Amino acid sequence: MRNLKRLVSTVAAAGALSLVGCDRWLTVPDPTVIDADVLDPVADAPTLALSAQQNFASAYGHLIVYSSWFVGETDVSETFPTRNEYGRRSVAIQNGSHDADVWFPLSQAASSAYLVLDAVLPTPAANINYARANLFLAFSYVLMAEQFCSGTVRAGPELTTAAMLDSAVAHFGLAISRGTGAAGPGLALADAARVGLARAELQAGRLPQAIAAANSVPAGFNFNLTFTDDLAQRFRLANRMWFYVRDRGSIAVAPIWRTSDPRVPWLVTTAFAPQDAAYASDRGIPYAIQQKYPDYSSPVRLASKLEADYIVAEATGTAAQLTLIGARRIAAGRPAYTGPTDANSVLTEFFTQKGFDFYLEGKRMGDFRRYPNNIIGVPVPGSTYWKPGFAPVGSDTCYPFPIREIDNNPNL
Amino acid sequence: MRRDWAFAGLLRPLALAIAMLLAPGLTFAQTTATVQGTVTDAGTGAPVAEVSVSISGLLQATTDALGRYRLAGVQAGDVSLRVRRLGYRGQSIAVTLSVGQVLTRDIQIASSAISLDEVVITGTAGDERRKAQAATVADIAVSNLMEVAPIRSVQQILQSRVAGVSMLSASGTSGSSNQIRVRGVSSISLSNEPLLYVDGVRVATGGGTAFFTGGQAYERLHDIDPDDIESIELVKGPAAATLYGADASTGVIQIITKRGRVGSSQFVQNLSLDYNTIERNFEPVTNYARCTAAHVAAANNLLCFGKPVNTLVSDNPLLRDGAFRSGNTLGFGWTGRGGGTNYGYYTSLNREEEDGVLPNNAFERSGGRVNFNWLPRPNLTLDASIGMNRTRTDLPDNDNNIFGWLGNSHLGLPTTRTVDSTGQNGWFGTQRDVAAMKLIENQRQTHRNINTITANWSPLSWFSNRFIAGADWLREEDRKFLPKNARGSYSINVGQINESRRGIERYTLDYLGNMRHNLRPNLASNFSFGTQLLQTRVENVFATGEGLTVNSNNVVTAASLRSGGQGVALERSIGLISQLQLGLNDRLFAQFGARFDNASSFGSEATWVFLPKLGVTWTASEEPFWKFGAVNTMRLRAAWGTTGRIPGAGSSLTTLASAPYLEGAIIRPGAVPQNPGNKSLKFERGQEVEAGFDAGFLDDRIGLEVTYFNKVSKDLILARPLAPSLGFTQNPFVNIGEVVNNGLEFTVTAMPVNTQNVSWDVRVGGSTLHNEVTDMGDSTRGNLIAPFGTLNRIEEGLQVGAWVTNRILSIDEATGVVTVTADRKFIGNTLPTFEAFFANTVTLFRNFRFYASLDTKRGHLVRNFTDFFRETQLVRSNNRLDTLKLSRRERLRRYGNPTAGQPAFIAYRGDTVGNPTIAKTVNDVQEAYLQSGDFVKLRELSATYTLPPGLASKMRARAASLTLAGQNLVTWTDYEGYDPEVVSNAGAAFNRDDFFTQPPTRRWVVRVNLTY
Repeated sequence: MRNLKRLVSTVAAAGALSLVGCDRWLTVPDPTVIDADVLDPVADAPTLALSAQQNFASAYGHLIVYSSWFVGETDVSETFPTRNEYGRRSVAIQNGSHDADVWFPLSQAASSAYLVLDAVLPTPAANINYARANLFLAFSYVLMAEQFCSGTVRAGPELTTAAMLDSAVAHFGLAISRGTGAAGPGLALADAARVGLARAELQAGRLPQAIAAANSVPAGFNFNLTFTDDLAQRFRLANRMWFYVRDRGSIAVAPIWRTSDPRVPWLVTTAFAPQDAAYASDRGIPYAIQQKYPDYSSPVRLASKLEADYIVAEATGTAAQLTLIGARRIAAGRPAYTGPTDANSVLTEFFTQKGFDFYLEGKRMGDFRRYPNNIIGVPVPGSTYWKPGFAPVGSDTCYPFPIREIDNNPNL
Repeated sequence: MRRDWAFAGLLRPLALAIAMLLAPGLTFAQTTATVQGTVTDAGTGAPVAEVSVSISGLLQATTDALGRYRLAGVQAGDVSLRVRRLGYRGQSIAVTLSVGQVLTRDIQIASSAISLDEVVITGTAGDERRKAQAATVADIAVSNLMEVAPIRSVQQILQSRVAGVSMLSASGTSGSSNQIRVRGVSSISLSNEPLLYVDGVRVATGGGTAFFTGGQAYERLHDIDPDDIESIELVKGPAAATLYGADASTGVIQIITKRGRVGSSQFVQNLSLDYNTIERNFEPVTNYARCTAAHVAAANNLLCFGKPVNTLVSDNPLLRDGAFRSGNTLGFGWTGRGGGTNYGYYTSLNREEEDGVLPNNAFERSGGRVNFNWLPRPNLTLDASIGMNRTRTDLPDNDNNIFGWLGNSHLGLPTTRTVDSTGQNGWFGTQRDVAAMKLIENQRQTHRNINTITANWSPLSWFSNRFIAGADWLREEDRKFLPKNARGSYSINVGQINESRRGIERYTLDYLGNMRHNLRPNLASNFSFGTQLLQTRVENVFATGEGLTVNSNNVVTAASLRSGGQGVALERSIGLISQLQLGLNDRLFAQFGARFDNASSFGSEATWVFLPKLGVTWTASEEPFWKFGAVNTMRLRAAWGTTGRIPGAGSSLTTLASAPYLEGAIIRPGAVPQNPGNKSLKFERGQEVEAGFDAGFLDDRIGLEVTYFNKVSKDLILARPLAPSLGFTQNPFVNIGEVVNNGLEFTVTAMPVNTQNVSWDVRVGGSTLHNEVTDMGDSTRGNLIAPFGTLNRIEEGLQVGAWVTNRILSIDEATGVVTVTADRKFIGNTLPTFEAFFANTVTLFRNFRFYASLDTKRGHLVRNFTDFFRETQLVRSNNRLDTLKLSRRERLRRYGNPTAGQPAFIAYRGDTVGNPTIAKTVNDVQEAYLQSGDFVKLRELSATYTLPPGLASKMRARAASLTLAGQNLVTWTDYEGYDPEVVSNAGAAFNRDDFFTQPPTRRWVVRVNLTY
């Protein structure tokens, strides 16, 4: 019995020692992730800010493609029912592509910008990381306001279109001040913010503010988002429009844009096939790919003096619009505008020229929200969808929240 | 990362201890004797193989095919021979041996439908006899089964043999995975696959794929050759699995490999040869389309040219192009078994080659095993085993994959058939015909070593120790090759090569000590204690290349664009075990056990986990008062235990993921939010109570085992769905909620006839399952999780992953208006609620054996997504195109209102007529495609002829047999797809989608067995 007791106490002591020593043994490294605790908000702010910019660039490509289907810049030349819902202007809240390709990337762009803005950084008034984060957060708000019926960020309460545009205006303002303060590359961020500010004010209907902001953009200004062809990072770093041509055969240039206008280059080719092999027979025309972005590394224009000019003209009125129409047609080698000059007709032609100038740049849905009757090529509600087997075109003018946001955002 | 081995420091003292133990063993043979003999069946007189004859637990022999045993090195004096075999009544036989004597003692054993004396290894400590175990541990005598059933894989062994164990073939693709569920689904966000042990060492399961195939996955269980398996024990739930720790709530499968025959002084070889033919077992559907004006005008249009517009034309690309072939399997196995005075050995070599019914589907396995057991001293045994194999699996693209065989063919348009065979020509993809699909390679090569060392040492009569150390080393080489072709410039057409190399190292170190003490003459105690350490390290590197010059130069470095990556995971867990077992009169036993666990996965705020267990069992029929005539055995048992489930390492951390950004044209390292983490994350707790009885009737010719179980998973680990607007790419694990699984299991084993010339064994088993999510948090505690999942719903009151859809309320055939519910409603289960099997073996004249097994699954739905897609998305089905094929009502039910401008389905807010209507689409209303998955299947049918010894000896063999068998012969079901027994996403936790999935095949088997 004494042996038994000795044995039991030895085992108990060994067990106790094991308990103490094991915690260390159980702490294992995980080199596949970045532990948030090891990030330094100050030292790593440039990384986080530029990452937020890239998140926006990636989201922007998705938004351009999906909105191009919705407003008829392109045809859905693939079979996925979820993407055809965009072509039919009838986006269901259960649409998985809507969640994964449209809502989430835009949300990630916004929330990752907030990661930078939440950090306490030195010299805030001249901090370029703040400028960058504010700029892309503001553009996220603008796109959310233009494309979604209502919005939310970071699982917050539902935002009206006006509230989203107000947020955009506030953050564009901060981007201008911080970028100007930072100087150097901050100046380009500030000018891009001026274009964005004008765009937000225009969408909000505050025309004088829009004109003022647009006029402050320097002549010849262009702000591009850059992309590259890296096999491992095509989903994140490549031009999305080219990805949807080459890798998926998803976007065909819509018939109405297949003109000889050089601003919308397109090509009928057998080198690339539509994912929906029945495209040509169903649509009644050959498959044509866009050539504005002819490879994975084609840059995408985000903000420009040209856009500022369009904003000024739209906000100023018919005469200014006619002037710009004439200038743009000449620049494109097109004959002068000879159509009716009533305000409505001019506005339609104005948005058509803008459509050529900014084809596949994600601006047309905002235009459609402001002037739905002056945007050509948008699928008509109730009309038969050109692809057999689908319900008629719906009447959506904006996107709903995906069901995952509705189900899991406690503030909605 | 430092590549240290956590147990390295323990090796040296262990080696020293072993050396010290072995040194005195030199005098072992000097005071011993030998017992030998033949074991025969008391009813039929036939020799019985695989009977365990042992003395004192450690010294053990196993009978050969002729029933012979030999135990050498037995300490002279009075000894007790313990004779045990599954399906027979255990015996203890007293013999007296003098030094140097060779005693021949033949033994007759009586078959028994119930045996309480057999030893259960898995999940037990102390007294390991079945009669002392409060919780059920099922066992399958694999070596017996292999004599009658045409088995080629571990999955086939587990298929419909044990009540409560549910196997689901993911597909009929050779070499692909199956799903195993034990007593339902315990977890929502973690794996529900049971843990797998081989000879006490935990090994890797699952398989997955490194690269996209569309649905089917590789299977690591195929690495194990069934010929090497002696038996399989299954621990079904926490009540019995507590000793396996905090990760065992989904059950434990223990594979026990064959051992050598100590003392036999014989070398017995067995040769087996298998040949299977494999048939596809389904008729591919035909595609339909209507000709348009453009089609009828096109001279190159094969089917429409010159026909009237709107002509319905059809095509069956798979049959037209002869896509399928007859598959076959060629299997060869050799085993050698024998032993000397105090040692035994088992060796095997095997080779299997299988071609599936699709041209690029194949499976190959080559392997071998050496098991060596040694008794250096009467109180010490050392077992060492090495199992090595290499497998190669080629999976075809299939399932949710437009380049897959079924997807590409079933979505093809007949109107694209061309005279010159150009373009799609009836397939979905352009020039993606049989020849093109054949060239796509999905391949995994596996190299695996499973090594174990076990030492049993009893330094004192009351004190025994068991050490197990083992390693599972696994290397997997995955490859996907899409050859360059002239079909355009998509990535997959320019030549794409994907390579992955994954290494898995899993180490087990296990110690179990036991002290036996008689507290009183009729009250025995067993106190067990021990520890178990597990470490798993997984590292993989992968590379992708795109753009090849020629297809024959198809390594990644040959590609014009290249990329690569790496993943690493290290997981550790530790458990401390103790158990007290009390036995009164060798009839009433009580167990009190506990285990303390910790793991690298838990949060910094989590502490050690305490896992208690309790159990009691009483063999009432051994009480003096038991006089119930026909009921000659009755054991009552009840057990309660806890285990759990552990997530992967680092699950509690707040993390960001590396994600590069572009600065100009330069790619720089960046980061995006990944997981908000959960510092208080703890393990998922599984509790189970089970109670039941084992009864023997009519002199144990009929056995009945009935068990009720109620398994509750608490602190459920849920990947809490986050609002996407938070921007995290992963959902954090939280401990919220509860899932209940309960049901009744029964097994009836009977031998209605057991005579010299005729014997008949029957085994019937079944189980019910009630699975329900019973808690998803509480809003008052601020942890409520809203129901989630679109079609497979996680919601309180429903089965895990229950099917929901907008239900049809009314169909107005006159107007075409179909009214549905405004919200999704429950429509059916994903998990069967009843499963049963029925197996018969009839032996005639000792030489002829006939075996048949039927099984059924009921009470669940399968989504016929193939039909849904072909009827509502890309319309290729004549159900839709031929308006006369279905009734108007059925068309309305499936496709909704056809009137232009009207929504397909409408719902009224609040389901109240008069409220505003909501338009619903076919995506919302899938009632017609959620179809009953009930089936009854004639799973196996076989006939075995054992040659008379005289005839066998002419072949210089001791024994020979020939088996002819069939598998998956008939399925009775109302399911409208090919087979309800498929899952298009093999890795899905509880989804039952059939989406362009190849159904299980039918096999015809010829097997020859020769023993020398």
